[in-house]
Amino acid sequence: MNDAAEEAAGLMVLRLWTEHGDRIRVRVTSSSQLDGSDAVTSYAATPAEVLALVQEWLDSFVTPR
Amino acid sequence: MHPHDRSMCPRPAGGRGIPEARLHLLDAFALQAAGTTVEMPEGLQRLLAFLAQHGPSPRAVVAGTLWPEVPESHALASLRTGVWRLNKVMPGLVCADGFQLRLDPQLSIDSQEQEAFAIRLLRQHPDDELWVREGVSTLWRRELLPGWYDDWIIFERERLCQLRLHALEHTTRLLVRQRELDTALQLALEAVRTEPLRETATAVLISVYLAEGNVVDAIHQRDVFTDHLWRELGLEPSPRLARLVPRPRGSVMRA
Repeated sequence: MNDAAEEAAGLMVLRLWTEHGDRIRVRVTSSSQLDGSDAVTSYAATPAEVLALVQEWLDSFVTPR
Repeated sequence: MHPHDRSMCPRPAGGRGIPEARLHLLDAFALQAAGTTVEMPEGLQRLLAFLAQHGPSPRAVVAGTLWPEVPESHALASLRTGVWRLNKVMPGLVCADGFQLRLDPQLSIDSQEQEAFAIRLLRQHPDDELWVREGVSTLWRRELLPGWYDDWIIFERERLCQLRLHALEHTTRLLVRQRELDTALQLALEAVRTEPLRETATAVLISVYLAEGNVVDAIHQRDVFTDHLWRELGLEPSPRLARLVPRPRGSVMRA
């Protein structure tokens, strides 16, 4: 049976643009509140860096087993 | 037949359209009629903002987007109430056209004007036209509905932000060619403020400084960008940026 636990929610926005030479830049703004009050902005220049930021954000919501 | 199933735009008394009405969605929500702000609760604001951004929309889409967590019948009922209340606030504001809802085309909307200007600018690549000078004022307003976090608003906000950024850079280049450097500088500073790690924004700002003859400011801006890019991403700017402002003799590139 589930207790009335507080529902976690979060928001992540990825904004991508390309620089000269087809180099990507991705601005990643993430928050663990739907109102964005704790929003943090990071940047990534490769897909791997983007995925690492996404993973880190997701991990903050998932309770380790 | 449901009242909203007819092509129907409730008209204010006298049969005229809505009074001089303007909807602001950039920087803050505000509906103004004949110079007076029209107050309305948040729910009506969301409905009005949705129709303003999406244009004519099927009722089911509006209802499903704005009331996603209730059964469709409840969502449609809420939508009917919302439309009725909006038209009480300003008769003729929302028109039902078959299964679609739309706003009175006489309503001017700042986000639409900004988007239309940006799109026209980027498609036509004008050289020197009056409409560009007149349209520049639309670029000063920054963000769509700040503080609103509905999914559809977040996407629209980012989309408009990108469009505006391109327009800021494009207009700056145009004004530099026209030697209108005061406005060009303000636009370029706004582009860099909007996205400080975007190299083309920094490049247009540098080009303005150089056009003014302010080489020191150009060098400083290049260095600010270079440091910021290094701190955030561990990268150097492209050779194109470096060629804009040659490094002084004796300076050392990072390894």
